[in-house]
Amino acid sequence: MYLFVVRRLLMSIPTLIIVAVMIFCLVRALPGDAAIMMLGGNIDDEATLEMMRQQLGLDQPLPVQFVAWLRELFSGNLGISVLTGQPVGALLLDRFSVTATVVLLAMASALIVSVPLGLLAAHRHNSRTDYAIVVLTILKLSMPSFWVGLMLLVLFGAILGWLPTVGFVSLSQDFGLGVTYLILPVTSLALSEIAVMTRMMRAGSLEVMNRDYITHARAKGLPERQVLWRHVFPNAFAPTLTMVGIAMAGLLAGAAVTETVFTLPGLGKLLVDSIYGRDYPVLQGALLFIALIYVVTNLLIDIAYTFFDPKVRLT
Amino acid sequence: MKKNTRIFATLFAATVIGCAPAGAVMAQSVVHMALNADIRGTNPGVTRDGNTDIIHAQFVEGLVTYGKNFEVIPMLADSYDVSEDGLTYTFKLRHGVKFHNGEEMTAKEVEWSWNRLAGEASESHCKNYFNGENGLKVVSAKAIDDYTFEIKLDRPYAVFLATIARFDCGSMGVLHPDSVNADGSWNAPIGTGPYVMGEHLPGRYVELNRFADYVSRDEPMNGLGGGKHAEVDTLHFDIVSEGAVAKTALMAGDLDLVALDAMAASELKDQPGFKVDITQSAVWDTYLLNPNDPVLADVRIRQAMAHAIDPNQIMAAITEGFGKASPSPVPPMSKNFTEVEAEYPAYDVELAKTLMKEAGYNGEEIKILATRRNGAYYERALMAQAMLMDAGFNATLEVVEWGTQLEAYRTGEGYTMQSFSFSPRLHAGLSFEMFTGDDVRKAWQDPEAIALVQESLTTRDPERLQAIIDELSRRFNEQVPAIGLGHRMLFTGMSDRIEGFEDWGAGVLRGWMLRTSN
Amino acid sequence: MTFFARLLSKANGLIGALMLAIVLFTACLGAVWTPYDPLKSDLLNRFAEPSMAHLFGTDMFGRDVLSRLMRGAWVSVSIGLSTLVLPVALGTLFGAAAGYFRGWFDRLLIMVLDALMAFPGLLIALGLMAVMGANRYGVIIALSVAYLPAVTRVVRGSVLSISQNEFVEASAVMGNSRLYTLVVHILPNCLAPLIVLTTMMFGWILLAESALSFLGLGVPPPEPSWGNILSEAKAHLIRYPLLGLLPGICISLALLGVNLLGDALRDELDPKSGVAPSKETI
Repeated sequence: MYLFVVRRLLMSIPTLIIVAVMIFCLVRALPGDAAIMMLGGNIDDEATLEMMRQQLGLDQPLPVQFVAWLRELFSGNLGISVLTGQPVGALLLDRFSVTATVVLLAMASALIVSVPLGLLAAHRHNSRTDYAIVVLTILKLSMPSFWVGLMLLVLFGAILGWLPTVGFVSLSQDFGLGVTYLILPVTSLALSEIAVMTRMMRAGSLEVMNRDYITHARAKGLPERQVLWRHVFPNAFAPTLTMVGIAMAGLLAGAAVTETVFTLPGLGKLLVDSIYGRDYPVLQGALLFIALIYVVTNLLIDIAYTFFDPKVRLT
Repeated sequence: MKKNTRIFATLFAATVIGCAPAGAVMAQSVVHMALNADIRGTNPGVTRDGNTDIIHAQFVEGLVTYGKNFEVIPMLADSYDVSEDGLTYTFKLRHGVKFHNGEEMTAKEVEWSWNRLAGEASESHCKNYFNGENGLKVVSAKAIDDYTFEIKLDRPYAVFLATIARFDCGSMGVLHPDSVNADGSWNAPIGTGPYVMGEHLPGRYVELNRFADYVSRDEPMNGLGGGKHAEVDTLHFDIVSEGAVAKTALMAGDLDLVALDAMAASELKDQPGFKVDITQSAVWDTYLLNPNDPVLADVRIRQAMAHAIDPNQIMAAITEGFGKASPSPVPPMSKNFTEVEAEYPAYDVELAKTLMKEAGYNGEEIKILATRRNGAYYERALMAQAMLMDAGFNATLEVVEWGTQLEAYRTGEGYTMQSFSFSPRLHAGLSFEMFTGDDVRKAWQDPEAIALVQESLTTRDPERLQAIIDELSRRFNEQVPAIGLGHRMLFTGMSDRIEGFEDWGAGVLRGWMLRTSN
Repeated sequence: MTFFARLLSKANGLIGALMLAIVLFTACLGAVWTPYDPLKSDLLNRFAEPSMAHLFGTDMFGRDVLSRLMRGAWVSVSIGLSTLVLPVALGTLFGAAAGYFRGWFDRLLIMVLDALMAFPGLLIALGLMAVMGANRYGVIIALSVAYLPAVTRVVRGSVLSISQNEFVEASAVMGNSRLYTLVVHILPNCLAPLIVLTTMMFGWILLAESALSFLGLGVPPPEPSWGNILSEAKAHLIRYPLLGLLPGICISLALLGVNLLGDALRDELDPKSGVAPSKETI
């Protein structure tokens, strides 16, 4: 187990290096730089522009900048935002905490709803309940989550006026107020996840239900509820869990669209803003951080898998 | 529809106000405002950008500054003299001006501050205005006695005082030498302004506190100068990047004063509890034409384009009817804005078609570059495209992000026409200089125009200046290096407990004018 | 009971195919004819209410909303279809090669794919659009790169599992070359999962394109795509909700068609695979 984790982490190092190089090349291929962005339409003379570049460390040749970045990286220093002067590491953690709050809440509520719903649909296979669940989930799956988010915003924020439409107050700042800002984004994310997970759970359960050991358990006279929770659930949950993991990695890495719709100061928004502002240190740091989230989440999924699916062995 | 909207809007307002935190009444008066990005630092003229300059302007002052109509007026100087030959500027300083640390300002600190920004070792781009990099060179700048400061130039330069007053250099702000550490590194600003830099929580907020010992000038308030009688104890700026967020926060009572867009302003205008200030700024919204584009080489094509575009319709649409066309680069509030500057090519599609035919236009592509960004760059481009197409131009629209467009602007490549904006230039000569010159980014490369602009920056005769500006305006309309649209409208929304707010053409906040009732 | 189940499976296939046909027809129609010029603005007629002249009203520039939605259908669908070409072709090639030859090539490929997957599609899109210039080809290439790993993985997986079969060994015993075995015996058996994946992927691409356009990184305006029609409407939603409602409904209908058909196809062709309709991945 311990060895497995170490090996997996070591294996991800080349991936991260490839990502780092790709990030650097792509970012620097963008036209314009932070110095131009700061001067905007007021480029009075090239000397001033050069001076700005020098101050921002952009006057060095690219390979030199890359090596400098890597060297800093290995000493644990992600650099300083050229636009605001904030340390990138702190900035990333700050923004990540917003994204993580929203995503984890959405995932948790989606799991709570979709696991019983999927089991129920499978249990009542081909009944009206089943059809209703299938139709509803595929309907929701077909709606873009950012559109649903926008419509929720218009309905509850503007027309009914029950919830704030834009902005964010962190829970630690003001819990009650913070919750009101979280409701809409969490709901909008959770709805999509519910649709995906319910379908996975239903499909997984259906497959498991036809297996011999379930028939055997039923034949033994176990109550149906126990059959479902003790035998069907753990076996059907593994594929759902993979789905959860993949979705979570994607969302933690920045639900850029949702964050844009609800103007949340999260990681995705930071990424978009730093692209537009050519804030290289922030952009590079954010991308690397995102790659890391993928690697770690995938690792966690693999480990969690062994608990649910005993056939999988960590080697 | 309209009635419904109003009901929704009122409901919306009622609910968010209901959520506003209690305890808005405080012993200390605070005005909460929004800043659209964090400040880059507290070092005027060095760690700056347009956004940061607004904060700096509250705590730092220079020898001279800009008045309401962009005239240069004394600030820390009591008066100034210019020698006959235009080479020597002598500033008589005001007595009894206090730095934030309580010490009195003398010419010694003025000299130190000048060298800090304009000296060779300066980290500020401002030194390039004075070291010969852009023509003018300051030969010497020194304290003559405690209250006299003298600057000598290598040539007469009419816009010298206007250059000193630049916002981006904090008006060559005067600071106490203790603002830097012993090793010369920046510590904290010790200025003379009516506010003192307070707490700054990166990414969250910036605070400025009232400077109790501020000694005001006697004149009435005028632009960034004149009397400054601050009353509000604390100016609190929350960092809010999204305009929509700021507007909501204003409606919820979390912010007292925010910049709005035209749409939001028209919504908020009639709502009880709020006020909206609408002011025309000196920001010039324009379409730059690429001087190196072969299609535009024929002046008749450029004239046809100008006749095909109706600035009135476009300005009305992007300002929700609050603004009107003012295509001249010279802003209407400038003293050099006369009938001549008020003229522009008439909207006349038939004339445009005739000119196109004469020039032998044959469907060559007119590529309009624009970006989606505050300031209606995209909207302006889209409407111009539609009007050009109406006249028979093969106009295409390319929307890129801002960084890409700036690169195109800087290199003069990749566009035929682009929607662009210039921040306020507070001298009519500079209003032309910003797009006239032989650099690739400049739209107007006509040598005669360049010579006229140069002369406008050196002449000290007001009548000659007016004559030059008029001549430039006529040539501008004739040669069409750019198609002017108007000067941007600024909308500010505020809670009705805020009194005294008045915007002006430069759009730089003057925190000392604010009052709170309640 | 099973009769009903089969009926439903047929019904979803039928409804899905029907809806998709409508969308495709609208797209083709929108390419050649719309009631008005979808790019033509009319500043005196902004935000017009729905009427006989403008069935869905006009937008903030006075453009006819119906015409924009129709042309948008063409733009979105044509991008969706052209984006499929590259990932399917290259993905099949890489996946087959990796799955069959294994070894260092396989390991290297997996590593690069992992890196690609850990890379936000958003940045790929922006970076490529900066290089390509802002046009729909930038979007197509960016999305192609983003979906390449999915195809490669599915094909590689299929080849790996099919290679275990006896008929593959038999082919080798009969003296057929490895390439012959791959092309004649293995690849045809990968077709079923590939068809299912391609159908579903069309839906993913429609979604991703609209998400990118919504963020302002997709098809550059004024060319309408469903995503940027929605994006432009965003600022005016509170006053004019219809402007945002309509493009969303269009996207949802198209996706519903794809998802229903995809489900039916999977049940028929490849019931074991876990390919599922998915949400946007950006």
